[in-house]
Amino acid sequence: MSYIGSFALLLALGLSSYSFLAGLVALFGQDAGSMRLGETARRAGIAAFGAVLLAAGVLVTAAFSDDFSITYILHHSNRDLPAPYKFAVLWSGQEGSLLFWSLLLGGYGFVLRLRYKTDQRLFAHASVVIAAVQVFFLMLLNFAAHPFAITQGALPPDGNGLNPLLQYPEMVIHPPMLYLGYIGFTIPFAFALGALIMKYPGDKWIHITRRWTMVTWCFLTIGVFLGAHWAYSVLGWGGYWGWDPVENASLMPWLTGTAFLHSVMMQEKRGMLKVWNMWLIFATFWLSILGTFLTRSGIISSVHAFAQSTIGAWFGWFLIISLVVFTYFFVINRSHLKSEHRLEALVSRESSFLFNNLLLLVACFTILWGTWYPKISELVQGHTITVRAPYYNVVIVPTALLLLLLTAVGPLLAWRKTSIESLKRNFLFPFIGAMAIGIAMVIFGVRPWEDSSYFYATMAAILSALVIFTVISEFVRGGRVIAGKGQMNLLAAMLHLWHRNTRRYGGYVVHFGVALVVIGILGTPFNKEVEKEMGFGDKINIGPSTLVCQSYTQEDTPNYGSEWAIMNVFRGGKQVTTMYPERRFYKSSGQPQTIPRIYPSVKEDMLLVKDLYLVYEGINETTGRPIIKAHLNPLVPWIWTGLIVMVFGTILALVPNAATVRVSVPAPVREPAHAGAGD
Amino acid sequence: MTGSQKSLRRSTQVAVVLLAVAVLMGAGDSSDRFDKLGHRMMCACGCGQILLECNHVGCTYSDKMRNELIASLDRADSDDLIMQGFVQTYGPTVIAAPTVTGFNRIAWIMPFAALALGIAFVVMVVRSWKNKPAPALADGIIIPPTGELDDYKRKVTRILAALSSEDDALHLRLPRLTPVLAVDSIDVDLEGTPITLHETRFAGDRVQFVLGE
Repeated sequence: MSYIGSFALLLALGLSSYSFLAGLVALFGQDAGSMRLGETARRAGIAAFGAVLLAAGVLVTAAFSDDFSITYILHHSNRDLPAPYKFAVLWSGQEGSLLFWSLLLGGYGFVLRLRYKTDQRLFAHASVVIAAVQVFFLMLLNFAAHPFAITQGALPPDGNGLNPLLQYPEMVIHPPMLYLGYIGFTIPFAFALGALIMKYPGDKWIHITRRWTMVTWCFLTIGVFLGAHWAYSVLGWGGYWGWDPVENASLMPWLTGTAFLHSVMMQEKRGMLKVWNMWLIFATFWLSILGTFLTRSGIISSVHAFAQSTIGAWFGWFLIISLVVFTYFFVINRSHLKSEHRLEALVSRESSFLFNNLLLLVACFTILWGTWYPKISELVQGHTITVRAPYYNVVIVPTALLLLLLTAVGPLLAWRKTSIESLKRNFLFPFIGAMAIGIAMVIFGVRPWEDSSYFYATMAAILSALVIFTVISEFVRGGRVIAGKGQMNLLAAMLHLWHRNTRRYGGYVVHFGVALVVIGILGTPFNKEVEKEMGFGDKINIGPSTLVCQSYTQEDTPNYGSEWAIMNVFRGGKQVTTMYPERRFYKSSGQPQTIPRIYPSVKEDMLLVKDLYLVYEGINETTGRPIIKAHLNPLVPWIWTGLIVMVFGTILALVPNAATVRVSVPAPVREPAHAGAGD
Repeated sequence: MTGSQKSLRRSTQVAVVLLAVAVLMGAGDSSDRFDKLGHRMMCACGCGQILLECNHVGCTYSDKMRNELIASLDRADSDDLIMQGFVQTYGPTVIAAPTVTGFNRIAWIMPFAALALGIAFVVMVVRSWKNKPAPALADGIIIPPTGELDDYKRKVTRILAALSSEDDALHLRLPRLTPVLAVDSIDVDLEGTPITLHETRFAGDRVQFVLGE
């Protein structure tokens, strides 16, 4: 079976190389022969996807058939691994995940090459860029990280098994989502580079890639948040974001991608920021690859990183080459990107987008700086240091709060110019609402002057409320106007409003989701935790809850053995739930794993929901008593709710506008027409 | 200086002061020093987790380190002394953030410097773009900066047939020199000042205009 996989990978490399080279040659010619050559390059690109799909299919089949003659399967699977995780074997190791990367890139390329009639020449350029990226990954797969390497010597009876940390349902979804996000940014980058190379007039590449970018951004958002949720649900330390270099690597392209989504509107509406947008999409693509470099090179230590290997050097060279190629074409064709930058007013949507881009990039720079600082310290001071949450909590929060302020104010600003009076008028209700939230927090016992974390939490609450009230007021104000004209109720009018400009109002819903996420994060300073050795009937008091240990029990499955506690949870003397924090011992890998249990108190606390988070930490070897650690994490469920709202908002933004396109061309007139005329 | 500029400057000053207060505000001396110090250190076992968050099964370091921290607090050692003690025992990587001494100061300065420089740069860019003169129209008409437009009207609209240029052909996906319908128009505000110039091209075989019914 491994021979089929190896052959498929070689075939894919050959086809992708042909697609790149023939496509490149065809771009130089305008005659019929060049067009035919370009067509063969396009078809070779499609066929390459088929070959990579075959290779991936072979690897998955090998996992399901327990073919331990393939080293990768031996190291990442075992006979009793449940079926969904056997599928996840494809991306759980270095070689497989590279194959999965190549597969997704091939899939994106496949769709792009099928839709080539939209604009044949621009698509041909983009296809060549994608083929070049694909050649890089297939060279890695064929020559540096071969997923079909044969096991040497006698075959062991069973495989080493999948890493226990990855045996969790979200791990079947999280990596594909993250990869779809990372790889998806190759598409707008390919179009941008194509447009730059061919000096493409206008902003068509942005129109073509708008949906690609939004879908890609959505995938990356889901990937990042699922990663956080996985960390929260599996790692058992009670948090969801540890500022680990690999977590940072996923956040950096998300930040630049978010900046790009906003700044392209400046180019579409005002013809501004053409150079900026080019560099922004390149930076996003580049940071996606940099993330992979960080994960795989071992250059920066991380709990997530794959084993240190030589492929880091491949990625390093790819980053350098892509930077050189992009810079070269930018330098020789930059005159084509000249745009007329003129602002009519300081207080305008244009200014807010500029500041929004600035803050997103400063946040990205801060994370990049913090991620690389241990290496910088090693070079300068001769020793590495640690840069984790206590650092980022100080340096990133001010920027994030300013960004949140801009998220609230931005939608109230008009293109070109906004009068201070209209801003005051539109801002009044959201401002009063937000201040009321801040005052309520102080009344209910939050003391922002006592500790910086409380100050930040209060500011974050006020600004999140400001965003939420701004979004609501925008919908209500626009809805009222339509309701007044169209004799419909407010809800129908707001629906109509969204349908007339889905991108704008879908974007507002995304902002709403972001505010919910921030509300979830601002609960962090109020977290509580208690650790205790617990016998039968022992109690833990944490916040308003009392935990009573009912008993302990054990279970044995073919894949793992486990022991867990049965904990009854009481609020106000009444039992509200029973929780089962667990500790597993995986037989194949011989690795233990804690499985935390989480109870969100939605029924009891409504909007001020808290997660009761229990971890069975194991048995104290001295006393022989089990140790239970309880965390009380306020507001965390809002983070996951915010993600759902953000995804929903993106879907709303992707729906085509329903408004009829009216083209009114009046007849020539001798006298000026009545007010309101014009095209 | 106009009123809006003054209020903008005042708002910026308030924001800067609030930011400085937020940054400089330190954690007070409180009974939860164990929690605060434990969250400023890493577990030395190599699990990559904050000391008080380490749930690494079978960790041989975290319990020991926690006990050492409790002992230091019992001796009423200062925070700095406790941290120094841990650095001496476990090396500089035990602290979860760079210190604010020596070269490590740059780790803290850079993000705020980037933010400050970035804001200064964008303010400069916005001001320079704001001061740019309005672009001249083909016939020499200068569009003055406008406030919020109450209404506007058509000054002139010309409809004619033309041959597609290279740009037209590209955008309308037509061969070059194909006849297209050209609509050129100028709109003016209520005082007669030109505000927009449109040069629109339609693919003749794909559109139909109906005037009146």
